[in-house]
Amino acid sequence: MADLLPNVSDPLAGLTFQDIGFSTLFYVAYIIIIAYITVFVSSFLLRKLSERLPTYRHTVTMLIPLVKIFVYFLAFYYITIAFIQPNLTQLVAFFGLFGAALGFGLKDLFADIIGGIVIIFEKPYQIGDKITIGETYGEVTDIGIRSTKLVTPGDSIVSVPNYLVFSQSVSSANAGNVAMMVIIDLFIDSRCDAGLGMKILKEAIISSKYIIVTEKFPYTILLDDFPFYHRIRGKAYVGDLRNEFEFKSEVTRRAWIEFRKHGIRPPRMRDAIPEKDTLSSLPP
Amino acid sequence: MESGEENGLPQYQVELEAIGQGISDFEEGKGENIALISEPFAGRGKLINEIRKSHTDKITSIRFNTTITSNEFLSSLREGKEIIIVENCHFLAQRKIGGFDQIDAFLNYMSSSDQLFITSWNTFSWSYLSEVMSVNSFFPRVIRLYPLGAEALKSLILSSYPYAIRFSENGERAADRISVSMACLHLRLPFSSTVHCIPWPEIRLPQLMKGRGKMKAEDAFFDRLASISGGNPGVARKLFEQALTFPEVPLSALKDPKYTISLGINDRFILSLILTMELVSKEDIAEIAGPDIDIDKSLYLLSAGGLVTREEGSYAIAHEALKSVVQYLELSRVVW
Repeated sequence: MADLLPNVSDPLAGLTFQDIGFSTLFYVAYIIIIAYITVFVSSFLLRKLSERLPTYRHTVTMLIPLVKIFVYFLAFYYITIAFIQPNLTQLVAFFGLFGAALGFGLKDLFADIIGGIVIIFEKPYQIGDKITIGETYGEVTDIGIRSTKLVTPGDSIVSVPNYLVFSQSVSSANAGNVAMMVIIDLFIDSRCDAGLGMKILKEAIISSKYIIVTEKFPYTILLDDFPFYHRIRGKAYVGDLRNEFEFKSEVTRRAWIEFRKHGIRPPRMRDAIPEKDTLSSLPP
Repeated sequence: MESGEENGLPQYQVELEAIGQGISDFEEGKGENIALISEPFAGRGKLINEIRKSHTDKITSIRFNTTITSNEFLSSLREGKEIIIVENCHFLAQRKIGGFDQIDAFLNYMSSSDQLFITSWNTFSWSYLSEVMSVNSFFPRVIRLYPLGAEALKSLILSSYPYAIRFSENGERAADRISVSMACLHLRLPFSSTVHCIPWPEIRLPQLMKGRGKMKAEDAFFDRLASISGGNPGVARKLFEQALTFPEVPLSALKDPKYTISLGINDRFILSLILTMELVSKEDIAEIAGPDIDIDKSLYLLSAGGLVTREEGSYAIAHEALKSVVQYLELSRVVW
């Protein structure tokens, strides 16, 4: 058997292990602390920088996971050579075997790490995006080695394992852009002036302090007719996706104040429910 | 149409010629409404005055100085001559529900009229109104006042002083300075009425200038002034006046006013209103902002930070702060 696989066992045959003493452990602890501090400080600085560059916020924050992966892999390399002193062939063979062992023993963790790398390079979403993954919707605040952290509209932090990117569909509302489309629906009585309602909603949207309107970020006002009400839908981009809900709330409130001034009412429930007399006259 | 040189505005010769061409075309039967666009303090008014002077008999002129809330101005347009100048058209729109009725009325009137309209706009209002209600589609000829270079600023500013001004180095050697300023190459593309500005940097390196003699203190001063003011003539003039100690201007007296701006969304919005309307009363700001925003607090913060100034009850962007304010609001995506 050994004759059949002479080259597989050879590379690791001369692998020499270092003596593991207090100094080696101290060295490993030192590497881990330095790596942690480097990641922490660089993440902090990049986040601060991103806040000062609102337009390029996502580009800057996407450097954070890259820095993390680079620093942690570098740390792993230094820790490895603290225990063994391999030549290049041995190093490649060692990482191959180590990867295989990791793959069998810590399959999910390994899948998460690969998922993290895929997320960084393929960019299905970025830090700062508003995404829906599985049943969770929220803003991506961190892409780690193992998981992605989302902050939901209810301010809960949800950790989503990175491997879900392989098995779940991910929808990103803004795809790496700071601006994001927001849809606002207002329902009015079908007997009211829908044209005036559209004008008011349009002006409420374009005069909002949160909006951005350019060729790339246009706005639209649409009317849809239903049996007992009209739906006026406004689609527009908010300049900073963090203001998504404030924008929606501000436009809705201002539009309704104006609707009332012009006699535009919300649909009445009794229009949708047949009256008793009508019901009794219906055949059984 | 007289040229800019003859009219005493050589810096805007290209723009004056473009407007003159528009008037000539109108007289030959091809009427294309004109929009003259610029930043605050860039000198739109002076340019309009030149046009008015050269065509007095054919022109009716209207100037808006505050927000317009009724359509009475339309009767002045109807009774006007064949060419109508409407200055500060950004006052026709208010950024609130119901605040676009007057500009709608104006554009409706204009599109059905046989008159030629020469209008002037704040550049940020123009961009906003072009995006939200396609104002630009009513004006086939758009003429922008681009930033002026150091030479143009020098001739513009020095021509307004009847006496000679001495520029002194006062410890700072002009010859040692590396200076970078933006200049503008005017270009009219084929099949387009619009004059475009191709910006390019003018870099002066002392090492390379050794063979061509020393850089004069005067040139160094205006290079720096062009860079600090962003080429805006009104801002440059203000900075020049601040540096002037009659009859001398020390090179070191020209300070670059740096502003570190960090504002909340409400204050940012108020600042953008002042920038886009150029001169706006507190009542108008309150009317637009609505009850959600504490106007007094915002105006206090902006005034205390040196970003806005109060003139006869109305607010305007401080000249020195214009460049920083524009950079900040563009970066924050509040103006486009």
